[in-house]
Amino acid sequence: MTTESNLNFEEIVSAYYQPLYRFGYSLAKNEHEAGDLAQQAFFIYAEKGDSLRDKSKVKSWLFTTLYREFLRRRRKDARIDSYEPEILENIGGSVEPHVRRSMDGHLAVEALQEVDAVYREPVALFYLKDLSYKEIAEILDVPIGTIMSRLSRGKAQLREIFKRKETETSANTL
Amino acid sequence: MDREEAQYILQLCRPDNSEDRDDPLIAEALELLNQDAELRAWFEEQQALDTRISAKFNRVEPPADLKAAILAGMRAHAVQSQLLIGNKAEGAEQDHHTSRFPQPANRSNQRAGFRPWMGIAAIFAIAGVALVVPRNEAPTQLANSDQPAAEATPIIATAGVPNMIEFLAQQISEFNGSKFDKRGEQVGDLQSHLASTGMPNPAHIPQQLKQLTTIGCVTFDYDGTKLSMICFKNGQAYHLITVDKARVPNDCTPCKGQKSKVFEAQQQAFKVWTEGEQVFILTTQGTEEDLADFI
Repeated sequence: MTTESNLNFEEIVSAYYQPLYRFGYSLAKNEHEAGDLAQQAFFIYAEKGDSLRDKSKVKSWLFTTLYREFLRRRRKDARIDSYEPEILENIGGSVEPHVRRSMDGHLAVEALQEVDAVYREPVALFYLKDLSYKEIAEILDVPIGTIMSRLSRGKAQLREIFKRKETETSANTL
Repeated sequence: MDREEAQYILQLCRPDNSEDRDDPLIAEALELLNQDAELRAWFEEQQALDTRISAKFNRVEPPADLKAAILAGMRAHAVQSQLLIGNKAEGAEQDHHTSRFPQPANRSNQRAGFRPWMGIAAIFAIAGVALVVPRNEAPTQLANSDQPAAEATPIIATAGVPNMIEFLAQQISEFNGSKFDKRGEQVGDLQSHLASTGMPNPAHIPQQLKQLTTIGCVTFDYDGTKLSMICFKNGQAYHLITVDKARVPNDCTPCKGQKSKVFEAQQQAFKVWTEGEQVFILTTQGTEEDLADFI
């Protein structure tokens, strides 16, 4: 491993570990597993990244890897044999109580849990800002038209839930 | 493009995101904002709400030591890779080694958080180098370090496993790199070799396998039946075996209405399916779950 590639690792980790962690958190609703998923995505990159010919794809490659790793673990845990996110609806776990109580930053993640399961992943990726809708389609391996539709419906749901939660939060703090 | 369509598309445009605004579809919808005040008002409201949601979402902070743990693990991997490269001249088997990454905490049902010791633990975990193929011909110190204690490994029943699968399980467990007919990192090269030698050549490689680096290919003779095997690397070895459908015993292949059939033998999982006139067998060390991502 050369110094140059070490530098690249550092740059890549610095650029993406936070959004990867957030995506992992939106999936797992568990901060330990979110960190674990992010770490695993980078380790797989360290193993296989050299075979990635188009380096501009690093970002979507990492997100795809994390998503697949999450699905793989869920399949292993729950003997799931399908990639369909609908099936994951009831097994994703819940946001940890201490996180719910103590961290205002998790309001959006909480709101996201109330969005229909099929819309959750595209909406989470959308709000991470780093990914275009085309990249989101690639990561989740669904057609662009489907992603547009899921984003539209999912965002509409999230906005309503978010507004309600903001109002509730405001009322509680008064 | 009418207003309704423009609204649909504009929802894909994130606040302050120049990449989105350069997208031809979104750019076309954005142009309508200059002509439609009501659309513009709607869009501004959407953007304001998106900004608030995004700000909340991006306030989720990773553990303070996550970055350090990731870098420590990756550097440990780099060190291990250098060790493997350094040893390459000493023997021909090195292509068949691969590094084990630190096992995620939840794999052992331990939900420990990230701590500085995890980086160190990663180094030890990675130091347990696994042999990709010839486990029993590894240097002793490596062969003994890549798996938990043998007593902890569940015994996999082999009763009812077809003879051809048992044969393959035995061949693979005894395999070593010197037995490859051809080594190569490109699956196309190996396919060309199989085709040129008249051996079963997979007409279709599963998409997930295509993305992996190959190690080499070999052919086996099972009671006069030729089976070709292409080996892929992905943290561990995956083997795609191809055989002419007419030569495969019925007890190996899926029944009518089944897409595939799974067997486990000698701590290896085998998934068998048919495409056209060929039967494919994908195998790796582990269980069926270890194959799921590659079919």
